[in-house]
Amino acid sequence: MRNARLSSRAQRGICSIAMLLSPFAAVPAQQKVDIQRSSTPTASVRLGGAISSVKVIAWASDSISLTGVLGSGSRMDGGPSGVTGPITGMKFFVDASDEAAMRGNKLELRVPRNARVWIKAGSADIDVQGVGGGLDLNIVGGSVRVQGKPRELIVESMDGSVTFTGFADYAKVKTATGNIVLEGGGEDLTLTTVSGSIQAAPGERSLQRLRLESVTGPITFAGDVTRGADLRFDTHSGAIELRLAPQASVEIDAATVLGTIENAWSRTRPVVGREGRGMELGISSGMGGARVTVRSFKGSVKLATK
Amino acid sequence: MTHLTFEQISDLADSRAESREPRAESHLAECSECRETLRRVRDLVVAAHALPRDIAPPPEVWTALRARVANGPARRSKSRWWYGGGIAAAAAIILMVGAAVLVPRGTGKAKASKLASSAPPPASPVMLLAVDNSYTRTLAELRLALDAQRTTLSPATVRVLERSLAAIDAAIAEAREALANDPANQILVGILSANYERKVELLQRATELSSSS
Repeated sequence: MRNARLSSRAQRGICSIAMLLSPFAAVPAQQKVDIQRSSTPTASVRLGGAISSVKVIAWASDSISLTGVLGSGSRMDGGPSGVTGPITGMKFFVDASDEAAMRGNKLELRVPRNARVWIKAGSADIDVQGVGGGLDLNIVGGSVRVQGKPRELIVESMDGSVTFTGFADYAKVKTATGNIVLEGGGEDLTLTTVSGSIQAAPGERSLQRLRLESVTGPITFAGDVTRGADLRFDTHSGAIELRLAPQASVEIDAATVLGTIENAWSRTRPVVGREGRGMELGISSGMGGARVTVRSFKGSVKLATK
Repeated sequence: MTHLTFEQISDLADSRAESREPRAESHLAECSECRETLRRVRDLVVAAHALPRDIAPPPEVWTALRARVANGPARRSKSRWWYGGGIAAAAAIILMVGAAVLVPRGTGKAKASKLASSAPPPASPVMLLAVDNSYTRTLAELRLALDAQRTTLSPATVRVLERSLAAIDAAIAEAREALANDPANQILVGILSANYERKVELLQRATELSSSS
């Protein structure tokens, strides 16, 4: 009886030790990444493959730094070549044996302010701060956050969300189901989605040409419009809501095929559209104002005061 | 009997009251040939109005261009310039300029809608066919390429892709049906073209994803 109890205690002890040890045994061996290299101020960096998160930071140094960790079963190819002196570009590719390994691949990239960065990853969270050169970011899932004033911003995502805060000379953002948030401005911006939502709230900086397009996703715009700007909103069935300042100088041309138009921004009433279907609204307020065009098949259109 | 000049027919098509000539109208009442010419000009005006303001090159142009770039610089052919589409391009330009000349120079929507209501709708949905034809081949090629590489995409990506394609296809079907019933509607032409564009972009993206994974 006593022996049996001892045996039982021993068994419980062994189990406890095994349970305590097992989490440590499951932790994959991580590999450190630490690459530093001097570069030209406009160097370009290409980073692709199985990465779960990348943080890109522009710094006031003409050098490139890639640090972080790779999960067990992952490996990285590329990097600095044998050339001496400042390099004009670097290319990295991360390969992972499986999804668990991919999840452990977390990198931080530091580049000169005017560098050009190209990232292509499957499902990843990409966070970019302060890059003033070109950005070309491509993901399937996850998220992209960009802060700063990139000269050119191109983002493509399937269901990953995209947030841009800052000012871009040129930006093109496309998603399938991912949501898009614009909190900045730009010279020429096009945001397109199939069924994600688009929320644009441009800041004080000028917005010259803006295109917001969706198939079924809702589009919301709330911001100041620059004189002479050209804004266009297109959807098939998403709801469009525009919130403008009460004194905004705009020429609005809105039309739907089947959808309704509601104008709570001014006194102008929308009229019934062609052949008694859909609605149309034309407003001209002030001289030399922004041109706002809205087209919708059956999504509702609403104008309101910001 | 002297038939009406093209300028007189153009004025009649434009329905400009100040330029209407009683003689021209009385001639029209008797001459079936001039009536037919007038009907054709009105149809052309309606069709020209239905064209989108900006016409992007058809997607197949980019496909062909990309293929040519990928194959390296093409050797200059010694054949005459009008072989290989030169005549077709010139004819297209003449046609577009002709249409532009025929379109009345009014800016107001009222004028466009007046014309649309005064002229009978085209007998066949020309614009619908034109929009469809611009995309059908490219979409078929992209779909084929995607189906061949489909297994390289993750199930989650395939789900997102299929859901998005279904949404776009439903939108295309709705816009097509509406355009078939209202062939001169410029807004519908724009919406249908935009929906097709979304589909081309999505398929291109999915194809790129599958080829790179």
